Amino acid sequence: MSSLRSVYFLFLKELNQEVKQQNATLVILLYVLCSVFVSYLSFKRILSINTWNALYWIIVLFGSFNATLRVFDKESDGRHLFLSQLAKPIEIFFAKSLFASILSSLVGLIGFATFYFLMGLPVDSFSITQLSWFLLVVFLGGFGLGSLLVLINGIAFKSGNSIGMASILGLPIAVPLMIILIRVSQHILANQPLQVFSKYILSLLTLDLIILGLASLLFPYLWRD
Amino acid sequence: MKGLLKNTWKLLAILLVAYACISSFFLPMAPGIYTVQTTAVADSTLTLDVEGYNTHFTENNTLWLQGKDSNAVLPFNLVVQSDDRLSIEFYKQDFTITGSHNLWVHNQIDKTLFLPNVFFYDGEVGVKKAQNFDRANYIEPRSSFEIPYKSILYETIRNLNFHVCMWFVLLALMTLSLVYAVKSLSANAQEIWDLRSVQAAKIGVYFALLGIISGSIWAKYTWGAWWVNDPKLNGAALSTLVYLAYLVLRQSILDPEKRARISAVYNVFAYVLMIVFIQILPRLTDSLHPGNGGNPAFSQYDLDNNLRMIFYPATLGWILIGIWIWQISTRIQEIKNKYEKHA
Repeated sequence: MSSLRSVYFLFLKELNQEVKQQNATLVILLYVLCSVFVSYLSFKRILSINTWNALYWIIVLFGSFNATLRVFDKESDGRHLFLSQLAKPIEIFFAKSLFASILSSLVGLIGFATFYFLMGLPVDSFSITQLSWFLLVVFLGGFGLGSLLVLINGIAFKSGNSIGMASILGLPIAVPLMIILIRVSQHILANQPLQVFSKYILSLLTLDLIILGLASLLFPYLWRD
Repeated sequence: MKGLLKNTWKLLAILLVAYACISSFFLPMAPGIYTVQTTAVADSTLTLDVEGYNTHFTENNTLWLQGKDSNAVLPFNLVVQSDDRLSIEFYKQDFTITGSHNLWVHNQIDKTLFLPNVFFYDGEVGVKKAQNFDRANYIEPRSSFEIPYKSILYETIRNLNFHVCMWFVLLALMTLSLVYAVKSLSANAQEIWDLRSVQAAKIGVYFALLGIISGSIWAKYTWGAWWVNDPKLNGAALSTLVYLAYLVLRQSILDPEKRARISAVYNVFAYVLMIVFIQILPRLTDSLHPGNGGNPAFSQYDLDNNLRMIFYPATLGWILIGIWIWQISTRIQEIKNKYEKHA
């Protein structure tokens, strides 16, 4: 119980810092708006589901990389030592990964909204069921990307030169998640019945849990100095 | 004597790989039918040209066409041009169904050869009647030790003993790397375990490159391109990238203790996701590789007993060679590190 409480307070700390500095939020807004606007200027309207889907997920992938880049930067100059004395590494991990998951999902949501606003959808009819499945996939994707990126950014932070390293380490590792995300959202956009894509939803959920479990297992080794 | 016993497995590795190389390069390939072409269609007859590979058509041949639930259609005329070329003529009235027909050829040396769907009959059909032709007399398996003949693959099937083995070695070495990474996370003598782990990953990357090259050549001759968009290929390429990223990460950390810990964390993470890349994801989608997405695995129809007797020893031999290389490179690196400490 006390563990849950400290995860909650650590998460509140992250939120407070975010509200004060608005670092990640601004990054997300700027990055997503700019890239969607650039693609709007070149495409105007995308009619192919494949193109729409690829563009959307690429923007979400790089957007989450950018948004979570500074997750550990707040802890530089010895502040992480202070944090280590206050909380267990696993609590820090869960608080950070909750925060990063929310950021990544936010990237997905804002991306979807701007795509919808500027370029519309590649299909004519988009029902409420489709929308809710799509949003579920965005949340599941954000959840997986968030916990993956916390570990990767932790490794990059600990290795000293964090900017380039996170993308070198993270991009190849994020690919299996992206493959499943792209495939399942293709099925949803094409309005396929649930039994066609249910196996992808299940494997997405499994992969999310594998990533979360593995990252939470490995993070304490990374954190101790 | 003690040293000899201790190094028996190295001898075994050399013998197995030598056996695999010699038998997959020099064993003859079994005979088979290469193509069948319809060359002439007259009012009541039709002519097919049969091209064989390693066949002995100058022997006394028995040939017949047969479709699903149909009578065997025997030729009325058979002209042998050479050992691997003959042409056959059929009466149209002998066909009892329309549709696809398979070709069987039997002679004393080649035994029974078979090629499915060689001819699609769409003319008038005759009545199905009792025949005094018993096909069971002409179905004989070959018994000699040879490389099996498979259409599309042909001689390239020999590559099975090299290409597939490379991936098994990769998997074995990456598993070694994982085991030592976990050890270096939990134990005190971190630097020794870390050295073993990184050497296994390095040797594994070399084997992955060999696997990609041998697979690429094979793909060119069977699928028609150096690289195809196949989930297994993409998985293999990406897992190679992941391990290259692992090596890059190691370059950027100077403190050996910290390097051991951080890169071990990445190694464990990368290994599990590599398994997802190359083992689980391809099974969800269609793949050109055998055993995935509805394609039957080699073991079901392609990998016959002769090939198995080369393939399994070859896999074991290559894995042992991989482990041997890893041992030597670990030792070299250990000695280098010792010299650096003294210097």
